Amino acid sequence: MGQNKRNPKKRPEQDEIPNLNYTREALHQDIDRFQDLVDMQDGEYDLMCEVEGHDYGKVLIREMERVQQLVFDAYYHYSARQEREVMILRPFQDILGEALLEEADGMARSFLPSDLKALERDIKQEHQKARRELKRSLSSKLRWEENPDQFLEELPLSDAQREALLGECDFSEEEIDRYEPYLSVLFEIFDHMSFTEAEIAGWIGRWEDAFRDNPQFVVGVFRSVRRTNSSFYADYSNIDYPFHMLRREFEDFEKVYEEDPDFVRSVLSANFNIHYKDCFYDKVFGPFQNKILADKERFLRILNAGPEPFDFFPWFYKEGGVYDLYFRDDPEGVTQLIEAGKWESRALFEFAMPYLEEEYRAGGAEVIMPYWKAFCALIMNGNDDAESLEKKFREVWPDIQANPELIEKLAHFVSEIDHLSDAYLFSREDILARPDDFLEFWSMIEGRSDYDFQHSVGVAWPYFQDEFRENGVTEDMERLWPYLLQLPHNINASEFRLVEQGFRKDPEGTMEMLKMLDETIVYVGSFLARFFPVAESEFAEQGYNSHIRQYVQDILELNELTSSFNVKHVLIPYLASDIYANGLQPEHREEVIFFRDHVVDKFTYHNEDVYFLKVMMYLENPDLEIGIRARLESYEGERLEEVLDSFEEYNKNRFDDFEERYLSITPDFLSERIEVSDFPFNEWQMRIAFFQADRIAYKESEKHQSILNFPKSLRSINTRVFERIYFSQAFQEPLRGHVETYPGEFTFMYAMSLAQAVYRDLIKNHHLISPKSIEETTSQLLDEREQIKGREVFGPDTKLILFMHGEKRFSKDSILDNMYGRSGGTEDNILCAVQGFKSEEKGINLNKKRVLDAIRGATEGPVTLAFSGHGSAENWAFEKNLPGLLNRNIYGDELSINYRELGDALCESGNLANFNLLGFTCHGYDYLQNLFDYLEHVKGVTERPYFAFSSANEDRVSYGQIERVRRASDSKISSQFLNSVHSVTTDGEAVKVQDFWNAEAEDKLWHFQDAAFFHDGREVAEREGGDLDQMAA
Amino acid sequence: MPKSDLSEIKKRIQRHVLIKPELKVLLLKDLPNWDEAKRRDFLAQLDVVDKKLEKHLNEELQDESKRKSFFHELSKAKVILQHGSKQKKS
Repeated sequence: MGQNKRNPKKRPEQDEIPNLNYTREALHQDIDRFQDLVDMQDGEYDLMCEVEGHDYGKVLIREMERVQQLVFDAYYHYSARQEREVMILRPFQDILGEALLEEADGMARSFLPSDLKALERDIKQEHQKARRELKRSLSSKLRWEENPDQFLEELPLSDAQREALLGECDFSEEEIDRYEPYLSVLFEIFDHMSFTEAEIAGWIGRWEDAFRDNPQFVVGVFRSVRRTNSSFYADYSNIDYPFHMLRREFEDFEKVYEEDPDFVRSVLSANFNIHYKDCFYDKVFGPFQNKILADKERFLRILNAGPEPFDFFPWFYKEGGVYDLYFRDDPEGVTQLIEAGKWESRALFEFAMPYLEEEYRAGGAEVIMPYWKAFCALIMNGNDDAESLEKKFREVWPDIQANPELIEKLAHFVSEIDHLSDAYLFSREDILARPDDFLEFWSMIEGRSDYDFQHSVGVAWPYFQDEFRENGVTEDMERLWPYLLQLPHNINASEFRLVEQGFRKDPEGTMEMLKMLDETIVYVGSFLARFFPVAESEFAEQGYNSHIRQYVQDILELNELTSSFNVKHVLIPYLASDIYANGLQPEHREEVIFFRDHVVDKFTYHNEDVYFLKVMMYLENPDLEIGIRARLESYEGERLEEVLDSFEEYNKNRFDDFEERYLSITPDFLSERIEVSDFPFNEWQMRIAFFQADRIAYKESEKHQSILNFPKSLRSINTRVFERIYFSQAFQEPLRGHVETYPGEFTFMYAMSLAQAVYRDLIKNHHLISPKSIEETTSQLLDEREQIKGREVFGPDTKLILFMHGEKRFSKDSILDNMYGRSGGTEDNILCAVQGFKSEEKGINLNKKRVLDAIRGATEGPVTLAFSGHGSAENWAFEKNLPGLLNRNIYGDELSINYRELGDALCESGNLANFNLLGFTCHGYDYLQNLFDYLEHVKGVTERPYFAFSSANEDRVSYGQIERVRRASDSKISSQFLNSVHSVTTDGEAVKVQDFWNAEAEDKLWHFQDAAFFHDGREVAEREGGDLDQMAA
Repeated sequence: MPKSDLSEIKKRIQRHVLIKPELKVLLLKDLPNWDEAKRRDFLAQLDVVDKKLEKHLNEELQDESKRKSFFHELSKAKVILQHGSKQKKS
């Protein structure tokens, strides 16, 4: 301890455990965390190697250099930590080779003077001197606080330094005032970081030169360390890194600093995250310094407005960027726009400016400012990607024109994170008709903007919107609104509908119930949806009475018996109506316990949901019940899967209809044809099939999020709404009609696709989901299906334009021979068939030109345009564009054709409505959706391709066969989907749209792929499902 | 010919994989005394060493198991340097 006092810089070694309370568990936790960090770093390296084309040497050298910089910093500043450096260098020795190390060593030494000792002595002396001076000057915070004048006078500054620091010398009162703030701020910061005095001295010691020259800079640095808001840096043992990073940065700025120290200080202490200060010179200042130095003051204002520097400035200053376009002519206006737009400025210029450009050119920043702010508020309430942002803006632009201030104030309400809130969409006209009324109402809750709050408003508002339409803000609304804002956040609007009537009668009781549920279970909304329908009418009449109170408690009691998802969400709801009518009986409890102990615990099936439902279904039949119960209870050690199989085998012989009733529930159930006798659909069967599909989709989304880090959720349907549509008479009646007229043409999977298409169509057009709207939409979609099913896709009467990615496995010839040629297509009708990037002069893709020319030249007759390869939502590519590295470029790019170029060429052909567009590629759905949006909003064209197809659904990937399997297959075609089409068609017959439907159901294709069909730009069927065993395309 | 950039040389020394830290400190201390010719000479020799290093590493790392274990060691080193060898309980 004594030694510590003598040497203020000495602090505990890393390997010691400084705190006595530091337990063994804590140590283990830390070791685990260390291992996690190492694993993460390993993963990062793997990824880097992959991204950089496995150029190991390049990646390795760069990474080693980074580590060396860290080693150097550690060595330079903690000479006591040499062991660490040795330890770190040890693994390097093997791979670097002694010879190389010695050579480098000799080389470096040859540049040094022969008297190394003197040099070392100099360095040591410098360090000691610095430490002594500092100790004298700044080590005592107390002295500073007691007598700042004295303290300042004692600072060991040279005259020149004094001049630089304090301007005119001699410590006048004013100058002390000037100097004081720096130190007091510094001490404040140190206080905040809870340093000891000795440590403060140590820190300032390292910074003394910089501090003497530029106190403001040092303070800025410390401040920005604090601003990182990271607990990692708040721990002083880790704080070195940002400091040294800044120190290096300061060296880069050396020349600029000589000319204008104030400017450099302001830049490096500006209001942005310390991580961006590393390399700030390299990435921002260096490349654009001419433009920056031309208007330093505004540069600082923009910097402090908070745009993300590495993203914003290179984009802002680049050739033809905002600087050239707007800033040169109107520096002040643009600066104000950026100050208003803050960190979202780039997005605003990119997406909002097109709407405002004309007015801005005519009237300047001031005129567009209200609209600008409204757009800004909308962006800040979301985390959209570019496309959804553009869509959002397009949708709300008329409202902004009508009343920008209103939209700015209501941004929380208008925007529900990633899209416009349904609550707003359903009442926008009413709100715009009486903005003051609504704003007054809104002011009751102003100031709250957290996510839960936004959610509550979204749930609560639909409850009032009709009332508001009729009478504006009523007393009833004012009375009930405060209750609604306390809604638990795990409840959505449709779930709230279940208790809505009773709520009006008994708001306090309802809130009491919801709060109680919120405290005891995880998803209140899900609870209501599963258990409340039986009690709904009684609750509507009497509110939260004792019977309902008892029922809710009974259900909660059963829920506590198990943690199994299936028992809670499938079995207990099944028992709910009985419990509601007769109260909780011992047999209910027994049933739950039986499932918990004998079914759930014995899952050996690969698909446990299906197994669970199967058992429930068997138990429904009293003849089977005894057998299955006995087997489940006596099961010991044997694989349950086999027991269940033998059970099925046995019962097939006992019951005539066993197979028919139960065994159609196989993974292939969905690909079976629907018969008229299947209506109404068996709920159990469908649930099982749906559970499977859902599980597959879920698996896929999990994998994607971790592997490729795709931004949006891949699960784009809402299960409960889907079920509501699927099992409704309104949906099944029109379908039954079609099954009667065209027997054998529909599969169960098609029915599922159709239900989803209906669902999306309703949502996209903002229709409420009612029996009427379901029936209408279903009939329309079925009619459209009939219209297009006979359309020829490949055959003698359809021309072909085919382009493919350059990877060998996509094999152009196999499609030409085994798909097009086989279906009777002729050589003459091939307008263009190309694969990969082909160049005559450097950088120009001849194949791209050929495809676009062929499209423009296809002025009449039906044409099929097909792409097979790697795609993104913006591009179908000849090269690159792999699933993990998507090309999102929407401007001319020789490696790919983007949807705008395709849209332009299609329009120029004048034959757009006669095209079939086929995308056998990842993200084909999004590409087509973008194309249709482009045609509608930019080109102003109402026509759409006759038939469009994507083998991948919204935000999904598509699969090709792996090379080995492809070569062995009959078709030799890479695309899984086309391979399936091949297997459902015969030689010499034209391939039609209906073959595409059939292919979708064929041969378990749905296990991993998920297609979408459009007619006239409208989606006619789609489906979810997927498994990642194949290679994504 | 433009003058060689002092801060660039400093950076290269600090980050160099083969030069030992104690030598780096000495080089950095002595660097301001060098004339332009010496700086250029130094950079040229550094380039020679770098070329050799790159060739050497590319050969070594063709072996997958060697590569994996090496990257793992590098990961550990980086984590120790950035986070300390064990996490401090806060």
